[in-house]
This record gives sequence, C-alpha cells and structure tokens, in this order.
Amino acid sequence: MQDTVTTSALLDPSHSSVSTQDKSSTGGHTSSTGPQPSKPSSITPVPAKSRNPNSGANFHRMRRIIAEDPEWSLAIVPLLTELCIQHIIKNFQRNPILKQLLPEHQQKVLNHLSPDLPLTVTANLIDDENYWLRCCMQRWPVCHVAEHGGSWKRMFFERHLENLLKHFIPGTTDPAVILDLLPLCRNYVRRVHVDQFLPPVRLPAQPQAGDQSDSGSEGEMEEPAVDHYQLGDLVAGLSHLEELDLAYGVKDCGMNFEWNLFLFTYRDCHSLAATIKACHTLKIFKLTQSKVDDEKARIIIRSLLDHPVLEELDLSHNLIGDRGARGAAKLLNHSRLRVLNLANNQVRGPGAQSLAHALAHNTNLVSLNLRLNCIEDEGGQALAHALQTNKCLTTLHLGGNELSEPTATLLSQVLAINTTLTSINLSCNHIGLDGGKQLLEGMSDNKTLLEFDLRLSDVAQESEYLIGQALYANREAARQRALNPSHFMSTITASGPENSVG
Amino acid sequence: MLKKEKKAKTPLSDEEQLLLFQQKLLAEEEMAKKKERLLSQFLKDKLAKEEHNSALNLNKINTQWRTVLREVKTRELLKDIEILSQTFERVVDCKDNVIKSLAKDLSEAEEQYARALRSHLHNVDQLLALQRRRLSLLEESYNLELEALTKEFETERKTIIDQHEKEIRYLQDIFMAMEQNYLDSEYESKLEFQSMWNDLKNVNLEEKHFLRLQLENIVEDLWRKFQDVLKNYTDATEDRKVAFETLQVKDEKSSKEIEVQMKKIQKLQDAITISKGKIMIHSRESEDENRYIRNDKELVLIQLRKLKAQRTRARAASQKNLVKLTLESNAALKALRKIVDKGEKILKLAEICRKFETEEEKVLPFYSSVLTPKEQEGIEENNLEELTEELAKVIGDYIGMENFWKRYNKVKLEQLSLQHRRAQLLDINGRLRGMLKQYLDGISVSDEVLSQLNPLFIVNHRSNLPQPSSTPTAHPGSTSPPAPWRDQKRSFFLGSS
Repeated sequence: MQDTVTTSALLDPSHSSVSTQDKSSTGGHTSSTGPQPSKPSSITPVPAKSRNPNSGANFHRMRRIIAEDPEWSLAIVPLLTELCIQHIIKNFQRNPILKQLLPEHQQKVLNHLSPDLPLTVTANLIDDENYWLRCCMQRWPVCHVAEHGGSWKRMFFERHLENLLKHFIPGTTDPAVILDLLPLCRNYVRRVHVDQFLPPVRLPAQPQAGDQSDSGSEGEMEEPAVDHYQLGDLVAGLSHLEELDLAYGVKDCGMNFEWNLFLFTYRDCHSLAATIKACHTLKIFKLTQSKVDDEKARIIIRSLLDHPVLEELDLSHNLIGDRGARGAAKLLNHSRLRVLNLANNQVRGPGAQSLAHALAHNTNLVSLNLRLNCIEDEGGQALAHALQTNKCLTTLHLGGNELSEPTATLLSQVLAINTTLTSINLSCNHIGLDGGKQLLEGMSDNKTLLEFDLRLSDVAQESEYLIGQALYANREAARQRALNPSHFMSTITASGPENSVG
Repeated sequence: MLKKEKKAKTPLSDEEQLLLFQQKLLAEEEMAKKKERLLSQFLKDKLAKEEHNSALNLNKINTQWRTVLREVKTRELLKDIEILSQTFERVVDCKDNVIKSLAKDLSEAEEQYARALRSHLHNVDQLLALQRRRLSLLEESYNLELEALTKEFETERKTIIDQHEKEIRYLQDIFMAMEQNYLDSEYESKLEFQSMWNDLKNVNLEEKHFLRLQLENIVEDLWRKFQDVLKNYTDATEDRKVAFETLQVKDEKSSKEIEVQMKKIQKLQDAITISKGKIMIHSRESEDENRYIRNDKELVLIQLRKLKAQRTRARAASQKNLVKLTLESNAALKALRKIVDKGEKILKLAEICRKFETEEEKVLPFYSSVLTPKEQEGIEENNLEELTEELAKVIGDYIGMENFWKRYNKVKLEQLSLQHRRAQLLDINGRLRGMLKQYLDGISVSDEVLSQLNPLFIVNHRSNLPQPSSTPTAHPGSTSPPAPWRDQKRSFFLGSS
C-alpha cells in the first residue's frame, strides 16, 4: 500500500496541488512511520493555506506552480538534505551542528536559524554577519552599525551588554547574569557605552544590602548607600575593550525623580579608577554628566597617569574646577593623551593657566576642548602663550568662555606664527570689533588654519567675511596639496568630523 | 475844680446851682470814673499778674505733669517696642526661612537646569557628530562618484583619442597609398600620352603631306576645269547679258511705276480704311439702333405678353366676377324674394293682426313717444354723437323701425299683462275650485273623502286628523303636488284661505 501510494505520487508530478495535498496527506500518514520525521516543507504551506478561508488560499490551491516562493518545489517529497537541514535548524539549540556542514548548507542553516537562540550556543559558533543582523533588527528598531565598527555581531553584543548594565539594580539583580555573559562576548565587545546606572532599590522597612560584593550598606542618612554597579569584574573580563563611555544617571525616571539617583559616590569613583588602571587596552575613556567634582576627578586622573594606551579622555558636563584642571594638566604630560575634553565644567583662569603650562611642552595632545568653562582672559591669554611654543595641537575649542579683546590680541600673534592649528572655535565670547580686526590681521599671515568659528562673538561682519575668505584660500591650498600627490585621490579635508565632538 | 465850682456856685442862681450840681455830679462821676479806671487798671494789673502767675504755674504744672506722663508713656512705649521687636523678629525669621527655601529651590532648579543643559548639549553634540558623519559620507560618496566619472571620462577620452589617432593614421596611409597610385598612374598616362601624341603627330604630318600633294593636284584640275567652264559660260551668257540689261532698264521703269502704283494703292488703301471705318461706325450705329429696336421690340413683346396675360386674367376675373355676379345676383334675387316673401308675410301678419286691432289702434296706430321730454333730449343728444361702433351705425339705420317697435312693445306689454292676468285668474280659479271641492267634500261622504283628513269627520269619538300642526299651509287650495301625508302634516282648515 505504501509503495503504491508513494510511487503513484512520484509518477504523477503533474497532478494539481489539491490532489497532491490528498496524496501527501496519505503519504504523510504512511511516511510518518518511515524515517522521515517531519512533513515535507513544500506541502506544509499548502494545508496551512487551505485552512485559510479567504480567496487567496483558494487561489493558491488552484495553482500548480508557485514561482514566487523560493521554498516551493515541484517535487512532492523533499530531498533528504532539505529534511536534514530543517531538522538541524529546529534542533540547533540542543545540537548545534554548523562547522561540519558544506558551505551552501551552512548558509541555508544560517539563513533560517531563529534569532532567539540562546547566546551560549550561538555566540562563539556563528560568525555570519547576516544572522547577527537579523538578531539586531529583531531586537532594536534603530541600528547604526557604523558606530560599532560595521560589525553586526559586535553591535549585538555591545548593545546586549549595555542593556544588561543599564537595567542592573545592585542588590536585586544577580551579578552572575553579567559575568556569565563574559566568556561569550569577550572577543566581540570593544566599546561599552552605558548612559544609565540604576541605584539600588531602597525598601523603607528593611535595611537593604545596597551594594554587591564589595561592601555592605550603611543605611544612614548621611551617606546613603547608592553605589552603582561596579565595573571591575566586567572590564577585567573584556579583553578587547577599547572604549568606555559612562554616564551616571537614570533615564526615564519621570515622577520618581530624586537627586540621589544621580550620585556618583566615592566608592564608585575609587572602583572605577581601579578598573581603568587595570584595563590595558582602554583607549577612550568618557565619563560625562555624572557630577564629577574636583576630588573625584583627581582620583580618576591619578589612576590614569602613565596609562600605556589611553588616547582620549572626556570629562565633559561635570563639575570639575581648577584643581581638577591641574590634575588634567599633569595627566597631559604623563600619558599619551591625544584628545582632552573638559567642556561644560567649572574650570576658571587658574585651571586654564595650569593647562596652558602643561600644553606649552606637550607633544601628544591634538585636540583640546574647553568650551563652556569660564576661563576668562587670564586663562585665554595663558593658553595663547602656550600655543606659541606648542607644535602639536590642531583643534582648540574655547567657545563660551567669557574671553575678550586681550585674548584675541594674543591669539592673533599666535596665528601669525603657528603652523599646526587647523581648527579654532571662539564662538560666544565677547571679542568685539577691535578683537575681530586683530584676529583678521593674524589670519592674513596664517596658511594652515581651516576652521575658525567666530559666531556670536560681536566681531564685525566685515572681519568675519575676510577671515572666511582667508580660510577658504587655506582650504583650497590644502585640497590642492592633497590632490597633487596622486591624480585621483579623494579629498577629505580637515573640515570633516573631528575626533571628539564636544 | 470843685472848689472853684463851689465858689462859683454861691453867687449863682438856681440854674447855676443846678449847673454846679450837675458839674459836681459830673466831677464826681469823673472822679468815680477815674477811680474806677484806676481800680480797673489796678485790677487789670493784678489780673495780668495773676494770669502771668497762673500761666507760670500752669507751665510748671504742665512740665511736672508731663514728666510724669512721659515716664508712663516711656514705659508703655518700651513695652510696645518689645512686642514689636518680637513680632518683627518672627517675621524676619519667616522671611529668612522663605528665602532659604527659595534659595534651595533656586539651587535645585539651577542644578536641574544644569543637568538638563548637560544632557541637551550631549544630545546636540551627538546629533552634530551624526550630521557631520553623514556629510562626510556624502562628500566621500560624491568624491568617489566624481572620481569614477573622471576615470570614465578619461578612459573614454583616451579611447576616443586613440581611435581618432588610429583612424587618422589609417587615413594617412590610405592617402599616401592613393597618392602613390595616382602618381604612378599619372606618370604612366603621361608617358602614354606623350607617345601617342608623337605618333599622332607623325601620322598627321605624313597625312598632311600626302593630302597636300593630292589636294594640289586636285586644285589644279579643278582650276583648269573652272576656267573652261567659265569660258563656256561667258560665251553662253552674252546674249543673256544683253537681255538682262534691257530687262534691267525695264525693271527700273517698272519699279518706278510700281512705286507710283504703290502710292496709289496706298491712297486707296487709306480710303478703304477710312470707308471701312465709316462702314464700321455706320454698322455699329445701325447695330446699336437695331439693338435698341430689338430691345424695344422685346419690351413691346413683353408688354404684349403682359397685357395678354392681363387680359386673360381680366377675362378670367371677369368671368369669375360674372359667375359670382350671377350667383350673387341669384342669391340676391333669392334673398330679395325671401325678403319680399318676408315682407308679404309681414303684411299678411299685419293683416291678421289688424283683425285683432282695437279700434283705438286702427285710428292711431302710432302713438307718440312715451318718453319724457328730458329723455327725448337725451336720446337726441346721443343721436347727435358720432356713431363709432358699427352696431351703433347699423342701429342708426333702424330708426325708422321705432314706430314698429312702439306698436310691438305695446302689444307685447299687453300680452304680458294678459298672461299675468290669466295666471292670476287661473290661480283664483283653482282656488275657487278647491274651495268648491272642499265644500262639496264637506257635504258629501265618499271613500275619497274618508281617506282624507277631516276635522269634522269624527268616527267613534276619534278624529281622523293627526295632531294639529303649527304650520298653516302657504297656498291653501293650490294645485301644487300633494306631499306625503305623514311628512307634511298638513291640515286642511275648513274655510281657511
């Protein structure tokens, strides 16, 4: 009976799908006893569609060849390879077979694997970007893969880790959740960007164990134990970590807003300092919007002194004052720092003077951002003095610093002799008309400056225009220099994006 | 003064004593007044002093009283001041608290603002970075495309230039080859030409020689022949020459004649032309006249035709008219006969009517108008007016009928009155009959009577009458159709009318 049915099914491939359905149902029955455990995939869509009461399904039933469905094949009984692949896909979790397959089969399996498979299975096994692309798209609506170096796998793991960190509540969530992830993701995570650290939950009745492994809570009003998740173990586990971008705060707190949600405690600070000192692959460290004051800044900077690889330090949007600036100045000459961002802090004249002192003999720093501090003319003049001897700085941002004419005068002298600066930003200062004229005189001698931002600085329009002309000429010269070596080289001038924006 | 006055008094009379008395009185009065004045002065001084003292005392009292009061007042004031200072302190404390809380709020708000500003700046920076990246990407892609385009362009240019050069070279080669070919062929042809030319020249020269010889021979022969022939001819034509001369003379003469004749002919021709012209003119004139005449003839013919047509039409019309006339005359005759008949009828009727005339009428058939003089005047006025309506005009013709109408109206009125009278009499007759019938019914007894109602008819103490009705009959004894008994409930009253 079986044989006749199956042979008749094989002999009449030209039957309509209805008859194939009938025959396949019987064939399925008969073949269920056989070695094929699953129904042929080409037949399964048809019964599913036949159960659909709308006319489209009926229309399908009328058709004999469904050309637009790549899974459909005229053969009623699928190939054994197909069945095997289906089985592999279904049971991938229990039995992940991938490397042993042929490339085309591997590809098929990868295309059909469910993105919900546990990471323990897939993390170290699957390197196919397509699979990770599907995982990412399924999980997050907006994906900028360029931010993660163009690798979907890296993006998935980084975002996954960030998600866990963001929702980690010290004391409530099990730290093993994160530490378990380490062996899976350590090869793929290069950047950790966490903009939310949840404080521990404080239940009013119980004296809560507020912290994780390191120390117990005091539970007193004077020093509330709101230490956040300590990153020590995590960073130690991530062997390729290059960038750490942290902000201690809580997002979307809504009506539950309290100021103690945004505290960056001393213990956090110490442990963070220890972590970064220990991490020898860290190139970029950013700690923003966390109310880092001088003391905490000094603690962190102390741990960063003589760091072997650190290139970029971003402490913007904090509360760093002159002492912190002095610390940063010390760091400038004791490390390989290339980009320093102290925007929107409380650095004043003395702080800027210390930075200038360090800058005068510095050979590493390429970009310095002191925007929205209040360094005033004494700081500005000190920096200008330093720039006369500095031969390395290309980008300087001094916007919104209450600078005025004396700084502009000195700066114009610097412009006449300096050949490395390419981008200066003096917007939102009180430079005035005379300052603008001085700067114009300085610009007339400068041949390397490509960007000079003087918006909202009370400079006369004529001065701005003429400075703009000079800049345009400099840019053209730069473009020509870039073009001349080879005929078809593309020109990306320094008017492109800066390394650190801030 | 008094003494003097007293002394002066003793020798004086009563009047003088009176005067003296009066003077004494006066003096006394003056004394009194003085005293009074002094007294008053003294009193005033005293009063002044007293007042002064009293003022002084009052002041003293006041000052003392004031000190006392001051003390009391200072005590009170001190108390008040204490109270006020306390309240003031309290208020100041409240305000201090408010200021502190406000300062706290302010600091918190500043912190929040700083926080918001930070995150905003952060976000803005991120967006700016994104935008810059995007721009750089676009610039890159633009540059790449530009490169690609320039590359393409360069390659195309190169290929085109190569192609161009190749083709130029090719063309140049061809040109060279062509030139060569041409030069060769030219050279060859030149050589050929030269050779041929030479050949031909030689051949021609030979032929020329040969022909010259031949021709010279022939020429000589021919010259000889010609000479012979000439001689023969001149011999032969001597006579003819003479004749020719005579003829020449004749010819001259005849030519002169011919000239003359020609002139004549010319004149005749002119005359001919003139006469032809005249003939033409005449012919034209005659033609014109013919034409006019013909036109006239035509017109006349047309007229004739028209007239004929008119005549036929007139004839037809007249025939029609005649027919109509006969018919109408017949009709008129008939009408007139009818009228005559009518008139005869009328006369007969008049005859008949005369039979019925009264004597009065025979005598005076036409009465004078019954109208009042005023009405007559009115009618005359109406008659004098222009009669615009046709009917009025027509009626104007019938004025003669007035007499007839008078008689007729009279007769008609009489007839009507007679009719009326007849009706009345019939009525009376009927009534009388009825009454007679009633009377007869009343006195006779029959089935009919029994069936009718009769108040006098009492059988078995019961009357035939229904209940007496309140509506008396309108026409007792009238010949109106009898209404059903039960409906009308008439009652016949014997002797009622």
